[in-house]
Amino acid sequence: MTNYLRHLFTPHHTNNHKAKVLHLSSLAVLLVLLIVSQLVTLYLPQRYPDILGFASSIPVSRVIELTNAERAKLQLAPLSVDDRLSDAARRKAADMITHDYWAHSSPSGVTPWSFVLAAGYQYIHAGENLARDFSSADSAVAAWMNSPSHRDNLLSSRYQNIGVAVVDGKLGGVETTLIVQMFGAPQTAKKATASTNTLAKPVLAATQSPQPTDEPAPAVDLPDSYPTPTPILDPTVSAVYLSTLNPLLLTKITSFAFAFLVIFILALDWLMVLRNKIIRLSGKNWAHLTFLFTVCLIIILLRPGLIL
Amino acid sequence: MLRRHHLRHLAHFTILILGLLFFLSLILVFHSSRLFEFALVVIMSVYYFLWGLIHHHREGSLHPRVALEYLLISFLGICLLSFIIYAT
Repeated sequence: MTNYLRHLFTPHHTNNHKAKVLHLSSLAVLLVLLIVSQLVTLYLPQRYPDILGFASSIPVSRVIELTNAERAKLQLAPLSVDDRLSDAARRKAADMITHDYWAHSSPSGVTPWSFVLAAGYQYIHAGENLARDFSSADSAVAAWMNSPSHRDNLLSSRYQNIGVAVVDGKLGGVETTLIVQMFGAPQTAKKATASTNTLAKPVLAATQSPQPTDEPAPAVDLPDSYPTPTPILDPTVSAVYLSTLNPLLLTKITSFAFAFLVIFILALDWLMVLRNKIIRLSGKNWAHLTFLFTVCLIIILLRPGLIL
Repeated sequence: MLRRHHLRHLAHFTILILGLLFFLSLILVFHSSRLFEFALVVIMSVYYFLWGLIHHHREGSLHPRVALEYLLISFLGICLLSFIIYAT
């Protein structure tokens, strides 16, 4: 057993004075194993979706500025900031952190619209985009724009107002930055346009069940007489719950495991070569180590970002 | 002679480190674009592969097996990072 390990990990006459794991055939096998394990890692979270992230500083004004800039590209009217929607966004973010969930509707069934109404904003159209773990407002808005459903929300001509909250907190025990973007059109506006839009069929936000999906909360229409709903407190309603298992973390762990294995063997092999003054035709271990350390540094520093 | 060899080694190592740091900073700065990030990772790995070829050529130790070793390590770097970029 000891001999076999020595054969695998250290330069020896049995492996032509180079750790067997560092032979070309072994490196090729390692690569195949890495690809297979990463594919499995990416597949698993599709069945068990989850999330992770970092905390950062993102100015609310920048999110609004970028949103309106995207709208301006399509000659859409800019959204004006409404303090009530901003308050609703803050309430939603605080609720997600307090109850530790990442979804449009809370595990107890509280919808985004409850926060909008609770903030005193009577709407005929409302929508919500969520983002987390982004390092900048630019990357968050870019991610929304790359998602057709979030893009629809962001560029909808039905909205007149916007409210954004950027809140730092812990989700699933992980420090994160949440961006909540609330859109709305007030009820007074509907009265002005109702005569030209008689086909609009009201959809009650309260009847929407919160499914674990990455779609944004779609716009909802309410009749003028729609009463302020009380938050649903149905514990049977499904929602996205948090755990520490998530795609990025799993992928990072897998990559780190492989990188660490190769780095460890390269370092061991290099030390043995130096100690025993072995002369061989081979790549430079110190160069490989430098390259792989850089790769590890990138793995550590890469910041994730999720939208919902 | 030995001193010249060490100096050349140091120069090669400096070029490698500076190049890798350059790509590291670019990857972090252009984080918002997945495609661009992936392209940078590939370019960084190609840079390392080419560095290996040139370094060994200058040392007089370039051999197909050595080239293949650098190719595999470069590809390992791409695989280690590309899946993470996809997952972010």
